[in-house]
Amino acid sequence: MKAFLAIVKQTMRSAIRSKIFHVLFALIILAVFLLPVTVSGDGTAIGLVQISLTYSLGVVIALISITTLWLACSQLSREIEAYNIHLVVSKPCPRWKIWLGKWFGIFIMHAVILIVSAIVIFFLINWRVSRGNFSAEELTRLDKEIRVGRRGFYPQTPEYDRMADAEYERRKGEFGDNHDVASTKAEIKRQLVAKSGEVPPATAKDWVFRNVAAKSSDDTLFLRYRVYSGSTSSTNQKQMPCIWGLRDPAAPPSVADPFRYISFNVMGGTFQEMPLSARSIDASDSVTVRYINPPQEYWQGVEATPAVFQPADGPAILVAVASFGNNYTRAMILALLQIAFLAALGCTVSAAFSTPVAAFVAVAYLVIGLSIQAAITAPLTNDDGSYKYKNVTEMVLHKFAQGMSHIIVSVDDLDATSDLIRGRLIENRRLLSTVGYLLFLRTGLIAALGIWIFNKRELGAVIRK
Amino acid sequence: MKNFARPILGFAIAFALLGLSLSVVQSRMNAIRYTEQLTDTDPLENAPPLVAFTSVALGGFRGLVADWLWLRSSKMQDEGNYFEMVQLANWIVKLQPRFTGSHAFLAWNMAYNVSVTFTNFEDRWRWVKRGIELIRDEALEFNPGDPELFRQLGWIFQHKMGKDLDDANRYYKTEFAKEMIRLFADYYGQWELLQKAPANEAKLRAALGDNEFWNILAKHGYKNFDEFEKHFRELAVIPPEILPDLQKAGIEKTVELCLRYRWMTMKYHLDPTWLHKLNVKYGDLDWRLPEAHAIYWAERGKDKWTEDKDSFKRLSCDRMLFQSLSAAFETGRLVYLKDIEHLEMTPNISLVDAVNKSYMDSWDAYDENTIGGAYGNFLVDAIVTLYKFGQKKKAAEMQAHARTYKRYGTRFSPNLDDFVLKELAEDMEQASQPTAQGTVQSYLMNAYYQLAIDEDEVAESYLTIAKQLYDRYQKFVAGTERRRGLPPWNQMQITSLETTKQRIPAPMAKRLEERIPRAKEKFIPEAGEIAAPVVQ
Repeated sequence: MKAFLAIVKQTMRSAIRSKIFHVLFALIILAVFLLPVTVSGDGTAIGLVQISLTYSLGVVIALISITTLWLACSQLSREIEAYNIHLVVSKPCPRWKIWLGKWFGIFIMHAVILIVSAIVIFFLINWRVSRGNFSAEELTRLDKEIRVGRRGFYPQTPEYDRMADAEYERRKGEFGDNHDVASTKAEIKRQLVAKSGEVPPATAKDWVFRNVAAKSSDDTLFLRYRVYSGSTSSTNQKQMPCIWGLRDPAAPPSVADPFRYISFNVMGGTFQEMPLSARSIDASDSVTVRYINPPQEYWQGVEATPAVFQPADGPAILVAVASFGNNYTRAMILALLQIAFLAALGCTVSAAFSTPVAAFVAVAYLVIGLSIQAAITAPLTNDDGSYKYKNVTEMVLHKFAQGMSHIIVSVDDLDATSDLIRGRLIENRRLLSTVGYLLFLRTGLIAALGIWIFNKRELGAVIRK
Repeated sequence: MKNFARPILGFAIAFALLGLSLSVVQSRMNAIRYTEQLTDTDPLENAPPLVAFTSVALGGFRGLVADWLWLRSSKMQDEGNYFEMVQLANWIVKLQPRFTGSHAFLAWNMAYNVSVTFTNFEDRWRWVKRGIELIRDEALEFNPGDPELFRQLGWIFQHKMGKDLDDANRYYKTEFAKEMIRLFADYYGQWELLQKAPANEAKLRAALGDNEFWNILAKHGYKNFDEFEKHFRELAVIPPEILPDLQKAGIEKTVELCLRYRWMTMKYHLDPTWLHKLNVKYGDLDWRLPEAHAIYWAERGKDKWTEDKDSFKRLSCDRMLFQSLSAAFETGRLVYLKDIEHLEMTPNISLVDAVNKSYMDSWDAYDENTIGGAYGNFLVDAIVTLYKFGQKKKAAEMQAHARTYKRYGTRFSPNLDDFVLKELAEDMEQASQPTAQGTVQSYLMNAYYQLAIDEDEVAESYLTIAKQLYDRYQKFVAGTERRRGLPPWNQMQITSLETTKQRIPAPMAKRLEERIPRAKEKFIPEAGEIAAPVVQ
């Protein structure tokens, strides 16, 4: 342990002496103190908090990540090139301990910088909001929608496979003898999924959300949704009339229609959040909402079109379950894991290559990780959310990218700022899967590779340039 | 450290010398650039230090940065994250201060595309304002000579706020009117007085003397004039605690004029000289409504065009002028009931001659076929509106003028009463019974509504028209009254009166009840036993 701590201490000392670290640290200080008080949003309290968090955390985490990667890439390789490491390895200290000591030293130093920065940003943003002359109504909205951790509840998904099987059995005779059963069922399923999200004019669709739990009946729930007009194409979207109904659990059984309705116009293809009362949760912890696509006469001279809901766009019910501080801490835990990963990546390549090559390899790995994310989302999608490939090559490349995403760690997976600024709870299962799957499993493999390389490397063969 | 001292000192001296030399030759270089036409654009004006610095420091790379910001802005919009758009648009304008096409697009995008994604009218209004502010406070600040920016700004007032294409258009108009009422307060219309107001602190000091006003400010805890001005703009009146002292010193009017002048010119970029000039030119424009502001910005833009520039764009400014004037004629007068804080837009018939002249001038200047068509429609609207407002003589005059144009054939030939009734009742004869009943009731309800807002003459005209339409329809359905006839006239009056009272805010309904006994007898429905059904 003594040897490990000595290496940690020496790594931190050496890191602090780096000139690049000085420059980046100065930038971090500037970003921490200037960004939260200088950027301006759309004039609302919500906009102010969203933009301050996005820019401050985004820039600070990016800068800390760069310093982490740079120092991790340079620490071990420089000591090897300068023959300093030869003195260390001649001591009774195994090489895995040296590698871990380097990794931990870099990680802990940046973790402290990140934690301090996050605390300062948190207080500066809250201070700016308190000085912003915002109305009490606006601050209440801020606390209900953004400065909170809201859990998303989704409606039960119909059993599409069973429905597709039943539909296939019903229509089997239409397909002829030589049809491929699997692809026919897949197409039927795709059509069922697409149809389930479509609400033609003068029809309605109900969604039931189960196990919805609010702290109190005075709480506000939010219905988040995106409805398209006609198709999910982003062009040609128009203002459409819509009627939302909410089942009133207090309505007596004698009432023919227990829904309470609200109607308004909404722009197709845009995300909307509508507040609902927690009193709409019934005794079995369910909430039922209804969407009515009005008939032609309500469309004010515009041709009525079906309302289309994509599975990924909801509707979802958002319920406040955690405080903003809690959610903010969760986002910072993910940022810490990102630093841990970058430090491990840097130390691994640094054990194998000289500093410039190590930096190049590490950056290439990150670029591949980011490109894979882009490649996964690149193909067009159908209304039901399934992919619409242009040709076989695109399909093969897409499958390849999906496969690679299970091997390569992308820093995008560790970015929780977008959830934080929307008041969406960073769930425990996401934290646990990040720690288990991303950190221990995949980063652990990288670390193991780094230790193995460092163990196997013939340090005596290094020639000073 | 010793090793660094000399180079640093040398660098600092070189920097200072070069900076000094540059400041000496910069203005001369800019003048040569301008006179020799070495660049397509004039040197950047009014640039704050940050913009001047980024323009020079980033050089050609600022275009790349602006492109990246533009892409980010588009991506954020696609994802429904609008909170960054104001900041990104602001940075793009600062990085590319001369690329006015992009400024106009960003402003239009915020005012039109982003605003309609919100269902809440308050949110929508905020984005319309952001669009206006981007052109007015940023883009025009750097490009005060670009007429296209003036035109685009006027377009937001004319089309987005003035027209009824957006569900929230009445909300925009009302909120804008409230802002203007706060801005002008009791000095509305006193443009000549405002022109003479001290424009800054130094001039105010010169007007008031060195001590008294500043002593009063200090006594009430204001650290400086800026702090006092900020407080004034929050309240929109001189703070009540300081007012008695200013009144005692006899300087409250000068101070308030200065504050309001500065607010108008600095925040809203409204020059009282121009307001006065446009009122002289066109008549009594209502500066609390968007149409007047569209005219203001179109005139400012037109003022920047020179003969050698694009005639199509000049035409678009002229088009905006006559369209806005026409809109101002239709709904360009604000009725503001201060006691119940009620705002209502009504026709501004005093503008009829100005609108007429504007159309005629543009038609003469451009000989555009479409202008002739629009002019014909305006003449019809003008005659009907003047008639409805009891200005029968002026309506007849306009009709006579319209008859002089061969283009319109026999459209304006019938006598005035028949012409107006024909225009109003064009669809009456094809109408079903419920539609005819609804039309008559809407005129009756309008009559009662106008009575509630003290517009007695207009109310009387509406009542007359309702009766004429009623009689005309009854005559048309003679013989089939049992199937298609309208309810008795007094029943329709009762129904309309009751419905109006239900639909208008309670304080206005109370006013209407008070007004009815004082109004002429024809407004009072005869007593009847009929309950008040609600008009669909």
